[in-house]
Amino acid sequence: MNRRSLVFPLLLVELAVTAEVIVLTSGASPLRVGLALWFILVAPGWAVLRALDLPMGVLAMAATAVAISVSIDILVAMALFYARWWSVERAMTILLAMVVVLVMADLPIVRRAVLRLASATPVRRVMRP
Amino acid sequence: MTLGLSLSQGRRRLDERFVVGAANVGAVAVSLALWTVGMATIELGGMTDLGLVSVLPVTAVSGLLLLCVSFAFAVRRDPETGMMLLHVAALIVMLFAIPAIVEQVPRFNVAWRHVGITDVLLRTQQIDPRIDAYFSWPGFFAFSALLTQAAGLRSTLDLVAWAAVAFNLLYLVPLLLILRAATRDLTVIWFGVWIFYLANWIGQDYYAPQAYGYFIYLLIIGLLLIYFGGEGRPIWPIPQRLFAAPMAVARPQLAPHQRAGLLAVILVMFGALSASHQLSPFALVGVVIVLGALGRITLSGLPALMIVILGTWLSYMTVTYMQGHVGDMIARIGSVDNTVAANLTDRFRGSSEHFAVIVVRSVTSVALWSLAAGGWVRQLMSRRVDLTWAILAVAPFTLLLLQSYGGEILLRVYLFGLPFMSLLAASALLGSRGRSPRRVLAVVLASSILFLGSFLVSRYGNERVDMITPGEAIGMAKLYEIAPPESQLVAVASNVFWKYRDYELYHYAVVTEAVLDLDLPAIVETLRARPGSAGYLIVSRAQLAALQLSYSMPTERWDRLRTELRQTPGVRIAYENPDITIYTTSASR
Repeated sequence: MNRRSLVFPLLLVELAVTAEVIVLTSGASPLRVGLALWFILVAPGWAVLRALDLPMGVLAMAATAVAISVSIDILVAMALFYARWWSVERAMTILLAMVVVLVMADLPIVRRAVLRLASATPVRRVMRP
Repeated sequence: MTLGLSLSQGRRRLDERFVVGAANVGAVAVSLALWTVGMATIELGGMTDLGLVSVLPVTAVSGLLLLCVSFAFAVRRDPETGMMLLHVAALIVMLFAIPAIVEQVPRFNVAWRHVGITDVLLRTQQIDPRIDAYFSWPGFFAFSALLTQAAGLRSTLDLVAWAAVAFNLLYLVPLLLILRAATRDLTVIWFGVWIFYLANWIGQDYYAPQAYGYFIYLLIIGLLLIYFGGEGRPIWPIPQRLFAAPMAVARPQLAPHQRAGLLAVILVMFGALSASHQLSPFALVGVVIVLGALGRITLSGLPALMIVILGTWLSYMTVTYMQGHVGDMIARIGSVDNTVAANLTDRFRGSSEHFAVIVVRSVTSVALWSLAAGGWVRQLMSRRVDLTWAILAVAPFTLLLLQSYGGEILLRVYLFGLPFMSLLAASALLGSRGRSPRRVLAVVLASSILFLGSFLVSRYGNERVDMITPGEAIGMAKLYEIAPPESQLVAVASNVFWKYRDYELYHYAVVTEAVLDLDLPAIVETLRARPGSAGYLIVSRAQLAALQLSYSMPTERWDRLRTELRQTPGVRIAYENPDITIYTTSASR
């Protein structure tokens, strides 16, 4: 399967939307815990790394996705608290919107346009740390 | 004929590898099984001031020793990534999950305090920096609030017990990135990782901003070395040959938009870190400055960008805290003698067993640093030296110039230098010339056993003080039920696990000196310090353990304190169970 196919971006968005719906509508359950952890700890960072398409091994990508996700979570949650506008629904919606935007940036058509605009330098993979 | 022989040799070698691999997997499974049996039979009641090691069953220790033996066999020749990951993951679980499995209540009072800070954010829905310093660096707690509510948890406390295991698993990947940038020698890399975990007795991986901060610290260093690595340049007057070693990994070629994107990601991570922890960003900026000065990273402007981000946070978002503390902080800069006193001299006290624990901690730290120095000297003599890693290993010591950090700065210095110290120690122990698999096996096994013994004593040496029993948890919950807001809560030792709810609604005081002196009037005066409010004195098992451990307080003196408290006019028992007693004075005018 082509890495840049539509399957992965759609899957990521679908999982993120499912997580948001479950978190915002259901009571406490193991499913909610699992989806919330995935959505908060992995999804935003994963979307960022997909958009950047860095030459990176699976483990390095997983750890970096967690680090980016937590950093984005911190900045979003903190901004809402400082603005006295906090609610978990708002935080989740902002995170979902970020994931959707980043996934759109990962779409082949957008990607080609960005690459055309940004640089003509070819992307060459030397290693996957 | 020759081809036939080499084919049969190759097949035999393949068979041998398969057998060794299967034996390694089996050994890991057996070691985990032994360790699990040990966990099921542990009796915490008999714990002494040596900590958890005093009640650790032989089966659990056997499991850990077997894992070390298996690792030594697996790492001695062409270590395979999958097998190494299996061993390291098993080691992390077996070292750091012990309290989560054997203790019924999440341990460590500071982790409970962090739960309380999250509770304040969720209850008040705002960040009030006037409460205390934590609220000037609220990033981690805002994340904690988001995670708690999104996951539908009853309390943030549900995240506390397994935090050490989760954080240590997270540290593994960035650690590998760093070590892979330093050497191509897989045996040194994996032995360095092994030493890192066995020497990580510091205990800063609980549910806390610094645990998250350390993950970001490691990851940013790893990403910079791999994706923005440079070939290095000498610094006058150090000869160029000391920086001659090329980077161990080929730098991946990134397109300009990828470089810009990754740099933005690093700055976002650093921004979140600056908003979450006081010390970690300073340590990271120090490392980035060193890497930039040595030409080990190509982003020469990154330190300046980081300083701007950090300075912006400190200048605008911590004003409330700084207004009351900046003079004191500046006065402490350069006061190394006070820092050493707070970090070393003041710690060498307490019961004889606790003193032994402190000695083991000190010897472990000095031994690791000495091994690291040996590793560097060994490189120097073999003319395959790269000064970068030695400089990174000692760079955190400059933090000693800043302040004592509540008597903890030396612990943090040890932690921030640990990845580089572990790398140098591994290369010192393994050497480079004449390394036979048998020698590697012997060296790895012997040093693993020594580090393991030291870890079990050092890491869990305060466990009698840090653990919390169900009785204590019930007692503290009762306290918050009966004590109205604005009450004065008083503890006899600072390890009490209060502030986990209604953090800002109570007043707190600790009366250790008065308790040690059996100064009842001073204790009662502190209880009545808030006119119009009731006072509650918390006297618990863990606090007695702390006073015995740190001050050698005799049990008779403790009993006398309790007897005299009962006989003090105006003081009565509000709640009592075998692990905790709560005394109260009615509201004074």
